[in-house]
Amino acid sequence: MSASIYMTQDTPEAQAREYAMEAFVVRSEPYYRPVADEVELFTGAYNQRIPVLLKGPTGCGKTRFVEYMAWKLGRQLHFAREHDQPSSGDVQLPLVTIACHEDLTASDLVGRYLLDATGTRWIDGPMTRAVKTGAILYLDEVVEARKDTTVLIHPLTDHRRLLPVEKRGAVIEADDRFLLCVSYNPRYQSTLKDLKPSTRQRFIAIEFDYPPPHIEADIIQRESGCDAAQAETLARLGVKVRNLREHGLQEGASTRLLIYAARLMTEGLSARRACQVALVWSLTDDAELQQSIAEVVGAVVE
Amino acid sequence: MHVALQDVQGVLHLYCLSLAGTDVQVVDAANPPRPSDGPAVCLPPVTARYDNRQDNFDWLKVMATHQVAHLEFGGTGIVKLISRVAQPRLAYDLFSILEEGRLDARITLAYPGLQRALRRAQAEALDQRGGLDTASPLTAMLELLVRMGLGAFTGLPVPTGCETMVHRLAAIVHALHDPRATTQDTAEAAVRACDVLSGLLAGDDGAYETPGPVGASSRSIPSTKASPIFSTKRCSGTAPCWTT
Repeated sequence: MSASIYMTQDTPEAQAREYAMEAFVVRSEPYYRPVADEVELFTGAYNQRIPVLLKGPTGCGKTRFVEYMAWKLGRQLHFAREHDQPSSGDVQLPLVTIACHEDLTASDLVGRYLLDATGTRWIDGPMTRAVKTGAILYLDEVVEARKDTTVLIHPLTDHRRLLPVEKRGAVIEADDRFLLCVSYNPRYQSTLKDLKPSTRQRFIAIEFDYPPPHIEADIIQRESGCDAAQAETLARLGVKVRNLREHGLQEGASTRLLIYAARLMTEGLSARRACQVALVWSLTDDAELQQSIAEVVGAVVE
Repeated sequence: MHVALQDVQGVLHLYCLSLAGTDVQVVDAANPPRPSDGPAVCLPPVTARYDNRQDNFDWLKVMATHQVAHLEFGGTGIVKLISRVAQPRLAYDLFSILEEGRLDARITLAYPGLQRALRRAQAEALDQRGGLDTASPLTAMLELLVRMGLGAFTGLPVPTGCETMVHRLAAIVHALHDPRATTQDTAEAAVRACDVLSGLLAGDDGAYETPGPVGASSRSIPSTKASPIFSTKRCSGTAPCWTT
């Protein structure tokens, strides 16, 4: 189960807990099923410290892939959290993930001065921490970020590998292990939200899509614990529903949603009910589209 | 309670598109589009076969699924194969009959949620087919193939002296029920079925009647003629008699 990879083994009873960066790690291999040569591509890019752009629809495995690569490259995964300090000791390759949004500013990424009882002090932002600790910095949905944040990317993604910190009048040379990886969903992009050519051409791009049905069935079965026949049915259903992209659905059924349906089925819910809540109602609010998807579910599912 | 096509046209359009993976019009069968307008599913403007609205809709859905199956599971390249036989009309009729049966079998496997409605439609189509008492042997054999395509392999009246022939045809039909079978296999099967039936064609002096619409969507009843030459022996399917 994907959620379990982030649990520390010594606190299974905890309901909620704040972890130091060093404690919030992936301790075991994340499940990732390669579809093509993406593992080799990313490994090559990392060895050459070439920034990587991941393109693909929602829920197709981009984030899991980055986690897997951070693990596979022989390092531990770390997530940047507010007020955490850069880790040390046996930290080898943290993974700092930032979900970009339209209110994300350059200061949010680089850092800012804070006023406290003893005066002002500087707090590194997640990008600065990643640069200093030699992490993989993963900017998810990078096109959602404000334009001023993408300016920060440029000196980090060419031969300079520098992060200018204007407020401090400083420049930080990135740790040798640092790599910038960004992702976005081409289906969401518009002329207002697109990467400038000067930004795009700083990355190699790896294109993702939903896996072929036989691989997707493997993934569904592995991630949910459902049986092979159920997984195969859901994978076929995914293919059918994705045919409605561009015909009312902005996105097809993601692998993630198919796994949710499978997990509900392992809890004893009927396949139709599980698909209704995980797919039909989740994908759209349009009544006609909902009924059409429900009819497809009714045909594919016994 | 009846279902008006215009009330469900939008839903069925998206349903068919989802299954086919390509845009498919859903139109009133009374006003079929031109072939150049692209693929279309033709359905009756009003469906009132049952008292229950859901049953009527399910029937429409089965009909739509069957027609979409030609796009989803069908193929091309038939003409060349069919053209190599001496009786092209018979080969084409056999191809049509066998392909309908193959598609229904494929639908059963691919869409288990439709099984109940499909079986019901097939059973009704079987009930609506005419008797075979007066059909010529060749016409009767084609009609038997239609019925096999509708899932009826037992209790079929076999023309006297045609038992071996019927077993060979049943094997051909069964082989096409393999989910790996393709339209090309159907064409190959049609050629083999043509060989099986060629003796009857000579005996019939080339005369036979093409069966009415086949498959679960059939509603018409084929006309039959000729003398009563049927026994009541049951035929059954056997192992495939050729490899694909």
